[in-house]
Amino acid sequence: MLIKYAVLLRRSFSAMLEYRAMIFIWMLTNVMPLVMLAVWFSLSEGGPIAGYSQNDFVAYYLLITFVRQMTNVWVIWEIDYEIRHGDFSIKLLHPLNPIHEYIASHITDKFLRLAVMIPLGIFAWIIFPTIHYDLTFTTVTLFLIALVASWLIRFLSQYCFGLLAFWISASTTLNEIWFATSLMLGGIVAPLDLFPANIQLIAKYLPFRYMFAFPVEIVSGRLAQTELINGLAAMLGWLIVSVVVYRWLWRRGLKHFSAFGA
Amino acid sequence: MRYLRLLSVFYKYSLLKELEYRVNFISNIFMSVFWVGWGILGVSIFFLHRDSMGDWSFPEVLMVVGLFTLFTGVMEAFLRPNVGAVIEQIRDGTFDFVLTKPINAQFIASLRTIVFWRLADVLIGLSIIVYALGQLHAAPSIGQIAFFVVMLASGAVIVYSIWLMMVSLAFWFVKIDNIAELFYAFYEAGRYPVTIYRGAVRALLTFVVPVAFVTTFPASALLGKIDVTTTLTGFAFAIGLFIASNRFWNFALTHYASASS
Repeated sequence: MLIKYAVLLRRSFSAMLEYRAMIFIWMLTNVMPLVMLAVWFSLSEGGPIAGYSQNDFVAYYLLITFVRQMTNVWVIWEIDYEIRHGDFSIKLLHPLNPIHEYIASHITDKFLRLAVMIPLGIFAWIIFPTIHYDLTFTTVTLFLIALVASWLIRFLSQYCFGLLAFWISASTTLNEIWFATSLMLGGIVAPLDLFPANIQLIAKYLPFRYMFAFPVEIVSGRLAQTELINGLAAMLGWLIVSVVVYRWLWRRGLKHFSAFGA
Repeated sequence: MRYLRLLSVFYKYSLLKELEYRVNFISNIFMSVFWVGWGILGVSIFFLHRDSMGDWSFPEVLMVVGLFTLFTGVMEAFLRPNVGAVIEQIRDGTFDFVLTKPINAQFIASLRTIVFWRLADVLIGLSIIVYALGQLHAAPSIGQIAFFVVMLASGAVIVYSIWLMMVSLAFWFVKIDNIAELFYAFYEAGRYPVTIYRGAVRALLTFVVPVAFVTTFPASALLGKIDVTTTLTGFAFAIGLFIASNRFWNFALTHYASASS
């Protein structure tokens, strides 16, 4: 498997390096967290909002911008295109589950994005020297684990919506609703601490928090130990659910697809 | 006159094509309503914590949301489908057929198709504006309505010019499908009154990516927040941008190299 991934990665690296400029433009399209930062920044001029000072908003949104970039997923558009144009059937003939090829191209994209994000991060640190994160060995390790888990939940959930294209034509519309909800309840529009208490409680049980906000919350130093453990458990739970749903849809989808392809 | 007749033929054809996919029509309108609800929910979160956003009250901000929705509809109905088509024509060389028609190429390239269901956003946007006026118990004066109409028209001209400039870039870069996405990313900032942004961000949104002229200023006009000078400046800005975009388009045309040999 490792060797297969090495081959897949090398292939997608050389393909994607061709489109460096495109990837950069796609990165720029993710400015929404920064727009929200600008709004919250001036709203909190008169004093902190729900415990968030201007400085806290900067720290929160800069890191969530990073999380959003590093967990970016577009696989549904590829699946949608390939199913409609028949390229997907060709992929099914390969001796390897097509998901691995998509994973490889997403990993490549993350390396290219990281190359842009690191200098920008240093730049941000120079402009906002006062921002502060709770960086210990534990929090940083958990942040990195949560970042990968966020990406997996985003990727697998979008992949599942993509697989729905075997049955229905509105799969991208459903994905749009899912994505919009994740912007709202995932902590992009506002940190979840700013929502009414009952919505906060619900958001802790829904998957959206574990797609964006949770890694940021880990290093924000705002989570009590029990909240941290509960959050990690919920994240693991949603990760398992994503894998199970994906495997189930994939098996059902293949049967359905071959039934109508023959 | 001839152009108006052509336009009606174009639009009738688009409508017929769309009526073939009626289920899409319904799910698309559902999505429009969904996104508007999403936007209003987002604004509500600000007002959970503050009574105003950059000196704008909740109903006043709703008016900006209404204009944002209205112009989303205008762009998605009239502009985006044509931009997509032109990019594709440039890529496979069929833009030749546009150039050889005995009518103005800019006219046919930028107004050839319309996506009718997107006019739903225009209606939803207008309803939000009317609702917000009701909440404010405000009856705008004739003068305010006149300013509003001028700013609305300027906004339409501005978005048209921006899209024309974006599509012109395709003559050099061909693969620029994501430039529309990039514009939308900045347009997102127009959901809220521009007075909420500080310093460089506000300047950027007023003059570089002029979304302020599109969503904030018409609302200010209707609310009596701007005077004659600002209205006229907005109008002059729209005219200037239109002329500039037309020049740019004509310049870009000379770089068209077809696709074969």
